[in-house]
Amino acid sequence: MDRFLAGVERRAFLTARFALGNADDALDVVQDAMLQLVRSYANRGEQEWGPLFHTILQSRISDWRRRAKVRNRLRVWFGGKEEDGDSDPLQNIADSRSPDPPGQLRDKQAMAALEAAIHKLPPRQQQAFMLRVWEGLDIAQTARAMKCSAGSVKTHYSRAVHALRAQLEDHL
Amino acid sequence: MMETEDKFLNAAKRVLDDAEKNLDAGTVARLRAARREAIEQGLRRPSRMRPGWLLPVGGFATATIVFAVAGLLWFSAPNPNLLQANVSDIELLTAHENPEFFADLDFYDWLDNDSDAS
Repeated sequence: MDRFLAGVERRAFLTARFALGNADDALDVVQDAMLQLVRSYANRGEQEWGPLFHTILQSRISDWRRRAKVRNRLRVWFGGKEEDGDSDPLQNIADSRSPDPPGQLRDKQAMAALEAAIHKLPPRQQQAFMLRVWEGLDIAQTARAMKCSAGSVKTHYSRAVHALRAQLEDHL
Repeated sequence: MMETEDKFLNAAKRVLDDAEKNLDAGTVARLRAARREAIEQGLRRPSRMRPGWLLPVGGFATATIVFAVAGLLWFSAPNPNLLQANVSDIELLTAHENPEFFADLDFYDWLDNDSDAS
């Protein structure tokens, strides 16, 4: 289980960070998903862990979004300012040292642009894009992870790709 | 068209792979700690949920209590004093007499008995 989680934790973290726009919340969500997997499915076969973990992670992200929405509403009712979910994905960009500063800068810019564009997508499109493109799940597996039909996956995925291409053609 | 799309998707995937590879050391350390904590906690308490067999037992116990309370209410004999008290209360509320008459009811009872005796 430790080996499996070590293999998926970075991607899970980035997926959560793109979705939530915040590294701390992303870490909490990933830890929660890991805990749920260990607690409920440690005795299942290793080949099942991947799809199960994606499903758990996606539902944790959705739960977090729902809670954030409620918190925002309460904050607005009590006269506070609405929390800006779109705030500064640049802040979370990895700070790795590289012997190739121009190349590194280019990568950083591409990453920042991609992260910002993914973060702007509606949640379902975001999920469909990340699961299909990055995790390499097929349509049926994506549908299971997103708890929707294969047709919905196709629609969300196609819209996501269209929107991202329109925004990122110059960066990638 | 498909070729351009594939090119775009490959580029996006490469950027994401690079981001994964170049994640900063602080985040990697926090992820490692989170994983260890999750495994330790998860294995310490394998499941917070009640065992499956407890669900029907719990349901049966609840149903038994509900039926017992309903049966008790349904079959318990009505209290005659309570009924009587309720009837006399209704009489008081609907009577046309002055309320003082009811306050002095004991006096009128005594007067009545006294006049019978004499």
